[in-house]
Amino acid sequence: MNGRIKLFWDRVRAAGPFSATSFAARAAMIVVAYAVSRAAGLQEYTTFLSGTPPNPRLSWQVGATLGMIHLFLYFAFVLLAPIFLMTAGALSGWARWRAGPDK
Amino acid sequence: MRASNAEWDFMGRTFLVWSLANLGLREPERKAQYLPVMDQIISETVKIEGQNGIYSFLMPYARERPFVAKPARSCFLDGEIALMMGARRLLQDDAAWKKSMTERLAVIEQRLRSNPLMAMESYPNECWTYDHVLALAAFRLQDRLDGTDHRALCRDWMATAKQHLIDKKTGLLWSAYTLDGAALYGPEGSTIWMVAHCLRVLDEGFARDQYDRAKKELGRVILGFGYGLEWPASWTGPMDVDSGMVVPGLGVSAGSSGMAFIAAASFQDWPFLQALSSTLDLAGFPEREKGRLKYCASNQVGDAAILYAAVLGPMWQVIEKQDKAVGGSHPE
Repeated sequence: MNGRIKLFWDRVRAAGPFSATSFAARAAMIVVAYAVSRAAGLQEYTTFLSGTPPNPRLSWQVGATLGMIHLFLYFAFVLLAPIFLMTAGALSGWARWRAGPDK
Repeated sequence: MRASNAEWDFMGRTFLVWSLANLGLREPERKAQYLPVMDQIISETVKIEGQNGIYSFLMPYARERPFVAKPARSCFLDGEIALMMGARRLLQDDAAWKKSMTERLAVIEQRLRSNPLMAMESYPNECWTYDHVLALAAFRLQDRLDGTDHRALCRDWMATAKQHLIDKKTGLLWSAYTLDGAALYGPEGSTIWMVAHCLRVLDEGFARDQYDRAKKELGRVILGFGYGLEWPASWTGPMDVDSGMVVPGLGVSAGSSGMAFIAAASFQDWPFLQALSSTLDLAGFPEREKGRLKYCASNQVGDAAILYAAVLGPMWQVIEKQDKAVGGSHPE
């Protein structure tokens, strides 16, 4: 598994920061991070937004920090991930168009 | 909830009971389901207040100094509990709730009549417009239920408020003031939206005026997402339990935005309501499971206020119908 991750990471790095591969990889990382946050139930800690202690067994600071993490991941998921994917698609299409029709 | 915020615990109860009353009026065949829930909430609230006194549902700072008027009573508690009882009685009258509601309203009437500004404390020497208009709405409901006539009381309070409690820059009502009429908090979103909704059964024209002004000063829509500011540009107050978290830069206030739902629904401002709903769906972290919906970012009082905004209407219509029958409740 570690080998696959390393291979994937090497490919992303080799592709360059503004390549279709990099944008797709960023979107994938956001999706995975958001999925982990959801699975861990961090959305329940966003109640700090209404000034309510998220969990009486945790301190306010810890609860609010967990809520903030979910907040950032959520907005990354709904705002950034789609933009990254569209950019990756556009760059990929542009590269294919420039390369011309397959022979 | 009471341990972290006693007021929110109380208001979560009141908004839920008023919501159930509106639901019961909308769906008379389901009254039998709603009545026991309403009775339980009211009974438990009154019991807690009876056992631990008025401080059970007040913020801790209420104990920092004594109430000016003796014995200590809170317009916040008496008015909202009376309105809960009236709402319950609208579905099915009940002698015990009638007696208790009458007693509470008699105290409020006596306090209002004994102050030159018709002001009653909610906290020590702190009178809230929000609590006064809710109490007056309870009087209007009592008129409907028991054939009493408090139109003069409501008319006198309205006249006093228009003369003494208006912020000159915005034309909006202050949120809180002392017994002798010094402003404590100017116009606030967490107060004025609900005030405008309640004013509808006291003075329809003034209610519309306050809603329009509040929307101009405190309502915002950006890219289809609506929200409420806590303070107008001309008056800034502290971020507190009423405003909730205020997002820096935009000034989005959770408290104001929640109450804006109620006002937008009450004044049938569908575009603004739609914009507010879009924001709630984006930033409220809705969770849908087995036909149930909850907003993770919200809390007990937020959920109950949103529910109230979704079902309000019938309770106020009962009072408005009565006014039309007797030729108006609030002549100028």
